[in-house]
Amino acid sequence: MNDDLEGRLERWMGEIPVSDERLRQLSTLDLPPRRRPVGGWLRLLGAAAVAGLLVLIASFGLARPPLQTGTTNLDPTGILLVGIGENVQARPASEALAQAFDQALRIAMANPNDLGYPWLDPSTDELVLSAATGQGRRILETATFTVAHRIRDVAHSYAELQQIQDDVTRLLAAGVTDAQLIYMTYPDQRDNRTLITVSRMSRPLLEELARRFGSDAIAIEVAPN
Amino acid sequence: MSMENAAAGSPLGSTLLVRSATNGDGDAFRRLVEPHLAVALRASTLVVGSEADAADAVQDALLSAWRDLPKLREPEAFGAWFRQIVVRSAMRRAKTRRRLVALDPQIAAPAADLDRAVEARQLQRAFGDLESDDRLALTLRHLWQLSVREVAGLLGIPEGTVKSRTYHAMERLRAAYAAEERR
Repeated sequence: MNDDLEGRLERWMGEIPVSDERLRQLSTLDLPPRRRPVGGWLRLLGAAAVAGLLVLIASFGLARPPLQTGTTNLDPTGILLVGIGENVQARPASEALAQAFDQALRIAMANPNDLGYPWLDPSTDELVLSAATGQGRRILETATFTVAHRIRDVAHSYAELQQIQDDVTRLLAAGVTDAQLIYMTYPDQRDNRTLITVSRMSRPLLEELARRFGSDAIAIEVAPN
Repeated sequence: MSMENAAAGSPLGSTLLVRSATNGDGDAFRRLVEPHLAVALRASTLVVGSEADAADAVQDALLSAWRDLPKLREPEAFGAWFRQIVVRSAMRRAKTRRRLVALDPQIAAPAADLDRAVEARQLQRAFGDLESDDRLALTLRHLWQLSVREVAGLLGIPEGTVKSRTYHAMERLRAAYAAEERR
């Protein structure tokens, strides 16, 4: 039965269902206006204006606010609550950012105990790198990136957050109350947490999740089925 | 096939559409990518593991291609260029993919024929057990039907590495599929 697996693989791949609705959505996608290239002198003028603004901000002691973490919407347990459709994963605005993000992700995967999730900050088009340890910060400081970037310190490493994703799948078998409400997990790169999607809010479940994984390591998204 | 797709499918038509799209014509861009969308979505689904995430990956690739189209030096190479963007986007999604507690119904939908449905489920599970790099190698070779040289160029790795990666990916699939058959 295992003979000609390649032929069967090709047939199966060619028959993977593709929904007409998704194709329609993709083929009618709204395209943003393309940024026009800015002339040399205009670019210099813009850079000077930005530099002046930064000096002004610094002189008034108004340092840039810390990275948005959504901490304004915390559950009483300390778990971050994320709204449906809130964008917590990197959406590269250009191929250069996409490649830089790929590079950052590969570095994080190669150093999973020292680094957290990279992210792309849409408000600044910056690549955000996450150092979970001093060694992680040194790794990031010596890496070369071709796009604007900054390093943030985070409480949890890539390995820890991935482990939480694994552990969450075993909660139902462990008899955790309301674990059946969990139906998906994914990386919250923006907040460097593991995002757990539940079909409805459950106080006992949130308290158990906070107890097991730490309230600052996870985020919850309530998405009714 | 519509007139538009016929135009996009020919090298000359494709080149004209690339030029129009480069000048900001969104409709030309949509006509240009339309013939590539189904296979892009299918390939992304294979690499990423769920059609919802795959659609996000293709959407990211479309936006990226739209923004970077002025950088495309050879309009006739649009297909290969877009494929590269799709592959990179799908791999990015695969590395940070969602883990579903239940099977994705889009992939798990049974075929009409029972034997084919069983075989499809076994292949799906075996394929899903592979690492994303293995899934990508097999998708490029067996869905997109790319040559070893084309895969090497697309991934930026030596041809020898493509051969060994594809061979080992196929062996791991064979082992996983055999295990599925014994279940």
